[in-house]
Amino acid sequence: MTMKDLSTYAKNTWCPGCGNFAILNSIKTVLAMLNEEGFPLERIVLVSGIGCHAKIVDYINVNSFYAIHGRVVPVATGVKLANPDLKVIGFAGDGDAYGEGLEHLIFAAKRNIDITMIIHNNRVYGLTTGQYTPTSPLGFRGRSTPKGTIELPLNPLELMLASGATFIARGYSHGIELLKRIFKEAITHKGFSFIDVLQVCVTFFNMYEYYNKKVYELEDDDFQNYDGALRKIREWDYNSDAPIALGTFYKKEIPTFEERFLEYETREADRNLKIKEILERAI
Amino acid sequence: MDNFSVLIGGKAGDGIDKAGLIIARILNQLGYRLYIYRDYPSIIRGGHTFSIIRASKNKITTHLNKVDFLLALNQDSVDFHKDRLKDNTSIVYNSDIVKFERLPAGNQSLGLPLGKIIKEENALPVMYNSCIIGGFCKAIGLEWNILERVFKKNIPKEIDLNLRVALRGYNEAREFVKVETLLNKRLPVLTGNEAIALGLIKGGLKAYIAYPMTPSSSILHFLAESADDFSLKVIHPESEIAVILMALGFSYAGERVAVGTSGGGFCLMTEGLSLAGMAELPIVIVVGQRPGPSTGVPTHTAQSDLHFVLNAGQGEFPRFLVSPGDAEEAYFWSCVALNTSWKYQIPSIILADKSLCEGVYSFDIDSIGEMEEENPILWDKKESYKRYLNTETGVSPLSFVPDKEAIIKVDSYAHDEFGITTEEAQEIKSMQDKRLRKSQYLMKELEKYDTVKIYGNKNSSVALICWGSNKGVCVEAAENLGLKVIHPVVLSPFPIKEFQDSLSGVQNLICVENNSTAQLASLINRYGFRVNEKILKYDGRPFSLDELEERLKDLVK
Amino acid sequence: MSKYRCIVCGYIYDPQIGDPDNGINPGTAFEDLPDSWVCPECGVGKDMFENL
Repeated sequence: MTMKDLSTYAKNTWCPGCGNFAILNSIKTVLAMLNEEGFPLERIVLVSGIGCHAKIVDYINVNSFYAIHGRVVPVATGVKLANPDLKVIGFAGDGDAYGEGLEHLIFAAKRNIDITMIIHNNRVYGLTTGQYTPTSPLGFRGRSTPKGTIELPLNPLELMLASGATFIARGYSHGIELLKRIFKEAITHKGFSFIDVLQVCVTFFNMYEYYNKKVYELEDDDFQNYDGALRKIREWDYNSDAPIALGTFYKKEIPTFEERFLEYETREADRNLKIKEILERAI
Repeated sequence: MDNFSVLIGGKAGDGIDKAGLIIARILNQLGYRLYIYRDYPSIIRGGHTFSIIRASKNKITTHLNKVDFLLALNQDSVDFHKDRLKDNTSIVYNSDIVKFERLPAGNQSLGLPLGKIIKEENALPVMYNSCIIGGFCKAIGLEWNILERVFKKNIPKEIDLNLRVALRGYNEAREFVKVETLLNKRLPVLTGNEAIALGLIKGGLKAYIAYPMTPSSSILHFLAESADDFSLKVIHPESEIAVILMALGFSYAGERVAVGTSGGGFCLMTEGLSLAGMAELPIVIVVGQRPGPSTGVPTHTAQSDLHFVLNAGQGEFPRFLVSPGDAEEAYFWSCVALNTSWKYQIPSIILADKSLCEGVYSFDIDSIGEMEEENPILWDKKESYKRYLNTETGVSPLSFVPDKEAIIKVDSYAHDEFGITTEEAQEIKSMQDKRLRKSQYLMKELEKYDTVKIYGNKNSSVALICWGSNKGVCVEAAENLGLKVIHPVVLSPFPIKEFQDSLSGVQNLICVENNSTAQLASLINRYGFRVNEKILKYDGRPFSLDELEERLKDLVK
Repeated sequence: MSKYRCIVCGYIYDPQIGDPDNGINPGTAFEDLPDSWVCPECGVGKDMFENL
């Protein structure tokens, strides 16, 4: 399985230099790797929302569900619960996942459903031409806030940690090797995996130079405990000047939602007989 | 006495619901056909709640205002229902709190000191109703062993105590009138919601996802209880938006799924509905109507969401909409709805109302007849798989993940045959034509069903037209007054030809609906048909038989 | 001749393969690519490439 096999005929319409290319190429590399290691590609399902990020499913030649804005998580959850043998990977933008669809993200973490959520966090609504999002910094001048926003951004990693996510990582679109490593780790993690990717939007919010100065990689095996992870996660609040850690912040294995959910026997009973029994009881 | 009604009333928390069901099941042992109208407020304790249990030799699916027996657990149950009493109505009442002086003079009555009995037996207040049921059974000359049998089958907790308390009531009462045993075969007695749930199960349901909302919640409860029996995946997620989107995930993965809600919850599902339409994902949505707008009257009934449900979701896409009229239709058409949504890859909506959902019915499965198994068209693996292959019928052959030879892409955007997003004009048009074309083939297939049913006097020039749960009251009123009834069960795609045929000989068409704007009347307007008169009721209550007959007599003078 | 990698999307320019779809023959060194040449994957210019 080559990278070319994983591409569809769809013409790529991302801006030249878009941070989405890094995510696209990283995930394709990881899918090819998984396939080589024996994981059949037909058991992969990609889900995307609406936004520049979401076009990713048009570009990858793999099963996919191009959903609606803010609703990647419930679709991915439904697919996984219908068939837990599938590997479900969701792609959402920050406006999509942290705004419109925030309730679902929190519940996915709360349930520890075994899906991977990759957030293309460019901190702007790109496809609708430049409005602020839940992670835009205070004072961000966008088309709906020309005088600058008057609210502080969310720290999505902190929110995910508090909601019970069992794998939390952050990547950067200009750090492809780290992205590949985190993607592979997240996809193979048993439980809810959350990755915030600082994805540069060259057209509406080009943070490339700023991020290059601030990002650094976390050391391996650090912060496997909650308090340590929380401290590291709070180092940067998506607003002030601070070092920006990249890598895996937190990882834990506990029973997944589907594990507990599907505990009863699933052999197909004779439905007609059972219906008859229920009707008998109702006489 | 082969046609009579019993009203049992009390406060919320008195177990009136369960009591009504037990009375129905007791009368069921005597061979009666049952129907229960349940009336309860949106509270957990206090207020006033009552059930009217109607028993008849023949099938009935409506209630009468006037009752023959009144079982009053408290004073409200007498005061609020004075208008329902006939001269010969018998009253069994809780003599500890209902004042004899405040009973209507002239009705025979029997007072039972429920509070005193409960105290003496060391029982709980919720068992007042067991005691009064005991008294009622004696009053109708019922043999004790019948009550005992029904109690044992229907009361899981504290059965001995309940029986002891019932026996006290039975012994302290006296017979008023002997209710005859009939020769009918005994039928199951269940709610409309249970019939819908069983119909979905019959249709191969694998998963049910819902957020609690009156009057559809009991489908969720019933299926959650039955999950192990049928290997069902039953999920209650964070919101109705999560409900519909999770269901579409299930549908994508090939599992038959249904969701249930009421008007407000359906509002939240409409974007998902449109997604189902564009992505051609099979889904069944049960909508149990209640009065709106907005929160409205949560525990009462209405038929005011027809046009909302028919037109919801942006864009144009076909949908299958059925509105069953009783428990047998609820079972049959829920099964058909599920099969249809998978065969045509369109959303199916089962539009019910509180009356049907929570009404209790005698259910005759044998009267339904054969129910065919329907399978969706699957990919023949000949050419490379296209999820949205443009075919003559508009229906694309299905394959499901994981399929080694197919890549299965669904898309909320306008897309090409492979499921890749497109903005090409020609592609957009041809795919829209494809989706709409499915409707035509579905209409053709529906000809094998009775999508529009006719009852009563088929030769009458006066016809009632009604939908959903109003079938019962209209049919019985029409039979009494020599009129015709036209009851369309499928409302989308609208069965124009069958409806046209049903109007033959009709000169005065009267619609009977539980809304304020005559929504069925305006639906048939679309196809060139007009009603002559409208009988509308929109106070949250269903028509009772006597009420409808009064209004009809005034109209058809 | 060394390979160069696009730091935006990870595309690797291999001089032995060139970029035939865009008119660059095999055997063309990165330094010899025209200034107008862009990454065939993501469209950025030569300045966004690093020497591997």
